[in-house]
Amino acid sequence: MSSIAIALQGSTPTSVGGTDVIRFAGGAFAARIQAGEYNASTHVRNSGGSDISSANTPNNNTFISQTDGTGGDSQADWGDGTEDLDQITTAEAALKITVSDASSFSVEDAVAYFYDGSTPATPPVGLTCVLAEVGNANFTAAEGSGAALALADQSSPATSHDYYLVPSVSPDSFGLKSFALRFEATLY
Amino acid sequence: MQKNVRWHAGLSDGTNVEEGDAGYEACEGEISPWRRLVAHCEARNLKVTSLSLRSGKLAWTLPSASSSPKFREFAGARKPVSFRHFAKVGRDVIGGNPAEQRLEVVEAAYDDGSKLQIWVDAKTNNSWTLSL
Repeated sequence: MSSIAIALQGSTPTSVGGTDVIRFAGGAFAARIQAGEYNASTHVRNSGGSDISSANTPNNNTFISQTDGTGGDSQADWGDGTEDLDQITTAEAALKITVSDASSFSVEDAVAYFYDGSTPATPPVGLTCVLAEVGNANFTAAEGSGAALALADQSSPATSHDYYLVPSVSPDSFGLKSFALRFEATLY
Repeated sequence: MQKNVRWHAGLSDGTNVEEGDAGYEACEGEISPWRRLVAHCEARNLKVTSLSLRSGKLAWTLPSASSSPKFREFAGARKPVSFRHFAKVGRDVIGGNPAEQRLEVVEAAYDDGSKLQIWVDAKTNNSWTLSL
């Protein structure tokens, strides 16, 4: 039977278990993101509230601009200052999603999108969320299933397929925000 | 591990094949049972003429491409030109519900590009039909 594993990448990847939460934060685990600013760090928090990624130097991807890069590319900062989004490598992306199964399979029509946490078609409320796959030149405002980011097909059969995502979020206003990021794929 | 919901295909040579049958088991590292069926059909110039999902005594069946249906309405209905099986998986990566969902899907495609899909949740046997 297939499974979907999630890791926050870093010097060592941090697996995100069923009761863990990926936390976008300001400069530190407990720091809040100011309204209008984007995440400056990313962590994995367990059900007890602890940062379980702290020893792994977790990656963080910060949105900088949508079209100010070379040739209209988006720009982001993944720890080396502002760069064109299409320069990010798989090792520098924050999120790694691995789909695996016992039998060899291909993946098509994979998508990822942010939503409000209860209705996939509904965008998050009070947040600006952008998402890219490594290799994309521009971020997508992937808010709600109708605006999902289409991920590249992986048509060579294998028992495991990896997707590398570059997420960044910004609160539009003060206060606690609730949202989800969902991944869907067709296996055949 | 045997799956709860398995595809069942009728072929143009009159044979029937079900996922899990000899030669169509899920094997570690090998291509999926459905891909093996596709390869079998291509090698012998066969076509899938009917396709369903089955779970115990339950069956969810797509319109058939067979030339000998039992009722007039079936004979007059449009016939699919191809069939396919796949699985759709999903999981909330951040927030939401971290539980993985996997639905088994069978699809009939028609000559005008339209498709009819049946989706079955292997855990609950709930099913949905989509016309695309």
